[in-house]
Amino acid sequence: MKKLVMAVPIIIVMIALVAIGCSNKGLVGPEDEEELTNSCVDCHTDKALLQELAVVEEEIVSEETTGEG
Amino acid sequence: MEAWEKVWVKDAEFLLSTHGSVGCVICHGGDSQEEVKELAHLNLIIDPSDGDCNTCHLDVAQSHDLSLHATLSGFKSALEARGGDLSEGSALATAMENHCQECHTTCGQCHVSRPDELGGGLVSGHEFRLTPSMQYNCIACHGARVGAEYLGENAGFPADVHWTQATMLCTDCHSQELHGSGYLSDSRYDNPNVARCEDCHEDVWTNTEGNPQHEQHLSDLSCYVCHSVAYKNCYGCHVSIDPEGLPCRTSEPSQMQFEIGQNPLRSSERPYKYVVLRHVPTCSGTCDFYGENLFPNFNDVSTWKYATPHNIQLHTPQNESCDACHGNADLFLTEEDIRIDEKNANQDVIVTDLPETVGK
Repeated sequence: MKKLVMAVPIIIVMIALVAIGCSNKGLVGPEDEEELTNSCVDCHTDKALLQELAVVEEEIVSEETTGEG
Repeated sequence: MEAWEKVWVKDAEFLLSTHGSVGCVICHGGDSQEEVKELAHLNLIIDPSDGDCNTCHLDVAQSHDLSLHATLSGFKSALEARGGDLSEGSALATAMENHCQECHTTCGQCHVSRPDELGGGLVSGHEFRLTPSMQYNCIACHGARVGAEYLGENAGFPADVHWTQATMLCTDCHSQELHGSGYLSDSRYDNPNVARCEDCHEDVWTNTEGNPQHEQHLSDLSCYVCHSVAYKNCYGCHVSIDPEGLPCRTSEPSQMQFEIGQNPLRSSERPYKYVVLRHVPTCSGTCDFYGENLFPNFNDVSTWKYATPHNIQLHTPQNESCDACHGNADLFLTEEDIRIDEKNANQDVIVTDLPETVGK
């Protein structure tokens, strides 16, 4: 009897989990996966890519400046 | 710092942090779905911290907005006190915009990246650092005088004992004062949160027994008079626009000097009669490129300023004995030390009567 009492809620929980899993199918589809990609993060965490794409900006400082600042 | 390194988010953990989890576009604009670099960067906001931080950090952001780091009011008030006209469109306002405005800083330029003045670039991935980097933030801007003094980078002059003996960082002494006091002010010394020696060395004031120098001088000499050594003084800064249209400046070689003068900020908080004074780079012709006589009241403000050099030593040449200082004209700012065109400006701070020798 005790085993039966414990089995009932377990079965209910399992059924619920399966049901939730089924109902969520399609929430994350191919289109959404594309949306989750973030080109900012993809690029700015990729050291090699940054090294390839980075543009060295010319420092615009007057050559006539002298002395300490 | 390499160009790529400036924008490298090297620590993926940042993306899980509070700031990282809000996404890039909310702060930086641009288009996160666009894979072509130039298109992704359209309407990019490189430093979003200039105004956006108050959404979550209202108190500190509001205080910062009134601080010297944000307003540069110390520059403005110094120019205006000399009779300078900073009204919109004036010659001096143009000079200030061209030469002074770059010293403004934002939240991000202390807590995330290096200052724009040094070319920017993330300090540590994209980490938001509660404590700014001493090397890449504080000294990046304050390196020529304070930073060099503190680290002992002036040949022949020792580093500060707080660095050599305790490796203390700037923020160990300077904390909330860096965000201002919440009120507009003209000087860092107006800030009630300004760092003070007694914050750590209270015992010096509460127990002078056995230290005759402290017994005698705690109320009339600032700590620096006895415990700092020669520091950098700058002269003759002139600003202009070069033939290429770029802002430029020239200045005379700096000089390592130690000058005790009369206290220009004497108050209940700073009751000292004598303090050390530092010469600021300003001269009457600093902005002559922009017009004649832009400082009609130049002599109203001294060019030797209240100073707090960051090269503290326990033992210094002037505290070896009483007469190492008393009667020693080399240590005091006297009429002979002042440039002829600045004599009137400094009448209130020069020492006319040296302390008499005491034979000890």
